[in-house]
Amino acid sequence: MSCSEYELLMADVLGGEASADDRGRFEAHCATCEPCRVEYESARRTLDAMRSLRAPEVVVPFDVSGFSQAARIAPRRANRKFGPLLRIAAVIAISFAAGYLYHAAWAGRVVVLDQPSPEPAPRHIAPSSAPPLNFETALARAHSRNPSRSELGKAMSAVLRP
Amino acid sequence: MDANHSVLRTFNEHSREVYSWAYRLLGRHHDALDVAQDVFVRWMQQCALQPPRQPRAWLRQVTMHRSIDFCRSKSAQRIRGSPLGEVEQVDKQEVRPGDEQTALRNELSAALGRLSELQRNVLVSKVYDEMTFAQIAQEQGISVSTAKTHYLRAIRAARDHLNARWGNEVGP
Repeated sequence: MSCSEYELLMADVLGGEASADDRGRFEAHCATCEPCRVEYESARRTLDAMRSLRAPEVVVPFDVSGFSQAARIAPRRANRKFGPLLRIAAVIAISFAAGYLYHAAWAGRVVVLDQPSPEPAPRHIAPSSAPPLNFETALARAHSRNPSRSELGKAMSAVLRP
Repeated sequence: MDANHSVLRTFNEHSREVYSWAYRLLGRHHDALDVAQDVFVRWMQQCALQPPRQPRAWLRQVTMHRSIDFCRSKSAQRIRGSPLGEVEQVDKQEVRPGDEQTALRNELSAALGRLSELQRNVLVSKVYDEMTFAQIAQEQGISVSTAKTHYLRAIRAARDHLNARWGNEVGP
């Protein structure tokens, strides 16, 4: 087999889908072909670099089932066509806000698999002393101030502001 | 109302994945959260027009786009942890001790940004979602051999970009 015929075999080996026999054939070829061996090792290093960027194990409650009431609130001047979308946006934004606060307040339960990064510590907001969140009011105020900007983004900023 | 339930269902099913994809490239919880929120706002807008047939593939694609754009916009800046968000201009070539992970994220993000849409989808699906070539081929509507070919091309392109930045640390 020529080197080009080992291309797909290399993909299987790099992708972890090669059988033991295929892997053996590929390794035997690499033992006698310097360009293929170098190509394989450089590809493997690149993949290792990508895999080194792991996602953390974050217990963030993205479940929106507890915020169904927010979905019934809509700004007075909301476009009727996107009224339902704004309600859904409010629900999702609240869940992200909850996720943010959950992460900040219960940081000890977050397990980060990768190496400690220079990321600054999140601002912790003690749940017991935090002002009550009123996302609906924030959304309405954000809309009334500057209708040209994203109501969702402004409401999120208002909710997350310490 | 069915459409709204569909959006919420997709959100519940995929929000953590979206966050995970964004975090891999951005490395910061709040940045990943920002990107994830943006992705789902776009998802809602897309569903109002025409719901994608492959929600997960669509979400992955948009998350990668947004994460790469986010990285690009911050590639020459560094925000210190001060309350005022003090911004320090950092030369792109400069890598300070302890910032290797950040530098790697930035360069990999740039490398992924240079790939074609299909190459990026295949590579990310394989490396981060650990999908098989058969699954990737089915999702992308291509043959298995084409998926493998794009996988190799994507790896080579990423390797060449990293080599150009850091010499031969990840390549020949």
